[in-house]
Amino acid sequence: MIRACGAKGEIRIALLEVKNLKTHFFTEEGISKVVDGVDLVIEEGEILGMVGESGCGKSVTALSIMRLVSPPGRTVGGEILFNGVDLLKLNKEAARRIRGKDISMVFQEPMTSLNPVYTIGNQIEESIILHERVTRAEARERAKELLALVGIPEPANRLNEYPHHLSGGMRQRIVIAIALSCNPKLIIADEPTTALDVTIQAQILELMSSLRERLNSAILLITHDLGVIAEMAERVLVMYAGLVVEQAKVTDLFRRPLHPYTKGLMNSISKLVSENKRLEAIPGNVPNLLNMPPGCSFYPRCSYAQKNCQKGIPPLKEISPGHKVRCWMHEGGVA
Amino acid sequence: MNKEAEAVYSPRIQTGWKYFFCKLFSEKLVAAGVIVLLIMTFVAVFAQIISPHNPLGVDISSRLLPPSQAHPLGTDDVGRDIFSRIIFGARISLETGLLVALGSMGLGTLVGLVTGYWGGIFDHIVMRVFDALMAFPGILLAIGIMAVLGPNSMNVVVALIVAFIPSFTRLVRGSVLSVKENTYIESARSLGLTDAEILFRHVLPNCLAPILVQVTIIFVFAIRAEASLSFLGLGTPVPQPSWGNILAEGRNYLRDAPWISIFSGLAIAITILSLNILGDALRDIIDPRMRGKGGD
Amino acid sequence: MRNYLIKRILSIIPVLLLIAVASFSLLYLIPGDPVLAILGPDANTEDIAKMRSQLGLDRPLLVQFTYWFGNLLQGELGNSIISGRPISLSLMEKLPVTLALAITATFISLIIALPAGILAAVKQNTWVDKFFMLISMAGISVPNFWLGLLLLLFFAVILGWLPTGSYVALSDSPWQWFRHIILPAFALGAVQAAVVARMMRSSMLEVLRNDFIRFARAKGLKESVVINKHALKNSLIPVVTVVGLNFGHLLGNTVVIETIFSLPGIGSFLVFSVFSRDYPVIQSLLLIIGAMYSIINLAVDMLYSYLDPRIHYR
Repeated sequence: MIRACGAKGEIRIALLEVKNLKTHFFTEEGISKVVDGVDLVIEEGEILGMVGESGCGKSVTALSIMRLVSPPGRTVGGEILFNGVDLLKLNKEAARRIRGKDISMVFQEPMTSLNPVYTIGNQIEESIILHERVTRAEARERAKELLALVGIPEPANRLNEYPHHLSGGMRQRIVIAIALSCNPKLIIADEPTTALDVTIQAQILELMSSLRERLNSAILLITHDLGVIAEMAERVLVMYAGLVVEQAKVTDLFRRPLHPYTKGLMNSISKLVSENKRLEAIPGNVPNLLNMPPGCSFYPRCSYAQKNCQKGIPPLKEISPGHKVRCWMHEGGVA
Repeated sequence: MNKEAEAVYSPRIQTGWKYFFCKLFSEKLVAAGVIVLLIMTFVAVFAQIISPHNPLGVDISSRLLPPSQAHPLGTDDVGRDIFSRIIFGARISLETGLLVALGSMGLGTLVGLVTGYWGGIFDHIVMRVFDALMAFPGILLAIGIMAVLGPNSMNVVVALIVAFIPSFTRLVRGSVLSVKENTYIESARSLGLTDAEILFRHVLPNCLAPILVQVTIIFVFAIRAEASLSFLGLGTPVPQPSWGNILAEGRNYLRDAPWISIFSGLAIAITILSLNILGDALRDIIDPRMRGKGGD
Repeated sequence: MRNYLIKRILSIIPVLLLIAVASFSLLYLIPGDPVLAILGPDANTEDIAKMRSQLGLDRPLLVQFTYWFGNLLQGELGNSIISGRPISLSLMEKLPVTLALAITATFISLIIALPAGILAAVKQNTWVDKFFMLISMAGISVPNFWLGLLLLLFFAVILGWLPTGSYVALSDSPWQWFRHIILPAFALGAVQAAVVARMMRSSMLEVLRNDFIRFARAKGLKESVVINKHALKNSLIPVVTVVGLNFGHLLGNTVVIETIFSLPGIGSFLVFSVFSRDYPVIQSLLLIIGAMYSIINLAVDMLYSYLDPRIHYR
């Protein structure tokens, strides 16, 4: 168990600590190293953001933590310490018991996360009955409370309805309600608002914020949208090609992005760029995970690239307190 | 679905005899199917040359003989050589299958194009008639028509074409209806193309995929239907050899000469099996979206 | 919901009408004179006249149809030319046999197909799956009459365990009924089993790809619950449709199976009447079977909307 010193010097226990996680996909064409050495730490009650393009490995990292990686993918290395227990070493039964109860997950598509042939009440109660020793009636009451908690009007009526009766925003609220139903210590939210309208997005994010305050769950917020990160997260990880390339407090990241990829991301967002500058897309494509270039994986697209960037994968170095970066430019950092 | 996981998929590697099954059920099988079909076609075309005996040659003294060197598959109740009869039966089956598949495809497509494109009263009437036709299970319709026309291998072809036309028409009409709304049809019209030109040059190519898929299906159905009808005595009339009626003859001698029914049925089964394998493979190529409907 | 049901039930009426018209017109599609076709070319003029009036062919077409249809609605189907017996009577004797055969065959096919399909889907791409695909491919290719004969040969002729034919009513002796129906039902159902099994497999595979399955696992549910509760109900929907629609095909195939196993059902009745040119019987049988087929399609449609709440309100 890692103990860190908090701001006031108190001992804080890391809720989740991921060390050198590797999840590879074994395909006919070769081994795709989707997650290849990811480290992260989430404290109790904090919101950690994880940002990157599609294909960078953020979703698979989340699935690895939940042990929901399906073939041909497999977690091949690393440790996932949840309250000190390595989740990867648990047998299937034990891992299953943690899911939904201690760690729960919200997926991207609210439209399809709920089973269309069962009522909403059924799907919420199912979770509750599974993890807690309650009667059907008690579970029903809890379900009603949860619906009210996430802001669904007329909760009692909703329980008997089917998912297709509700809008995307409502469905996502219900998915969140199910994720919260057993008071998990950690909620993993994989692109929770990407499929929703902008106005609904704001509502859902606000909901998640207020719930976090009420229940003190930690949230791992995965998204490709820097705006969402800015709004919600306290700390943030930037992922690229299966590795964490930068890690910082949100304010630090926006004020002083260190990794060229992060800088590229910032420049391609209209809100952050001053009026006279042009929006720049990052040139090139995400590398083929089956055939990674030697050395830094961002090298082909990097505007600061130099020959010796190809010598190997740069280690993650702490440049200033809480701000780490994986880049040969910042080699001489504080260890 | 997780995009990262979606892009990659492959069979798990198995070992030993599990590996055998994995390998067997892949390209090898399709190759086997093709070979069988080529043999069948060859046999059907060159039946006269290959056949060791006259399929109609009656020889009471050699009736009900088990398989031997002279008669590789035995003889039937009037001494005819089963092997020769099965060879000629291949001709009937493949001919029928081909004629029915092409006939119903051609006519059905034509009707579908016309009714889909122009609609109107003609469309209504035709669709009602076809609804009536489709209200009967296929084989029953064929039996009904054969009852009217009388047993004869040409009549079988006609009956089956009639039975299968509605399926093509429905398919094509549906395609035409959806393609019709596309803007490139509008622009073609505004460029001054005649209806016929639009129909054949723009509408038809887009319906091609489902049509080809259906042809492969109908071909198999037709062979099976012809065999069933002949088995019942309502198809190819005796003494002309069709696998179906050989099977029927064999039924009376199941105890004493089971080889008659066994081999004729085997011929049907192997042919249909190969066609199904090929059909599946073809369907995967023509329309990969259909994958998973019949089996991955 | 109720309106929807009523609408669907009413929509079948035009179809039934069409079937009636189609069956009726059968007689008139015969090239040449139907009476001569029945009696043969050597019939004398007296017999021809008698037959003609018996069949009502001497009256105008529309009148004939009205009479026929009117009788039909009263359940009066006329008499068989060959035996003289009222057709409706024969039908009442023979229909239960065919239904027993068809239903038993469907039952057998489901018992085999559903678990097989689910297993193959859950174990996709392992040897279990490959083996399944091979067997099911063989299953859909085998002609059912050949299978029937092989089963007959093996179990009845060689082993002598089961009878070679004929039928015993369930009410007379359940055990004998079973002995007589098991081989034909199996022959009839085997092909169906293969088709349904493949459908079950591909349906299950599709359902398993869905997000809500992943979500169900994320809730921490046991895999068996995920499959049997969440996946199954969704994947059964298209399977039900296939089974229901195939029932009509099944009815058609009873013709062959009843012939092989000498079962006195409407299938063998149809074959016999085609051979003996008993046109009134042929007409009635086509009508009955067509009507059953359409009604079953309707029932399947309605069952479908029950299973899938998404189309409750249309």
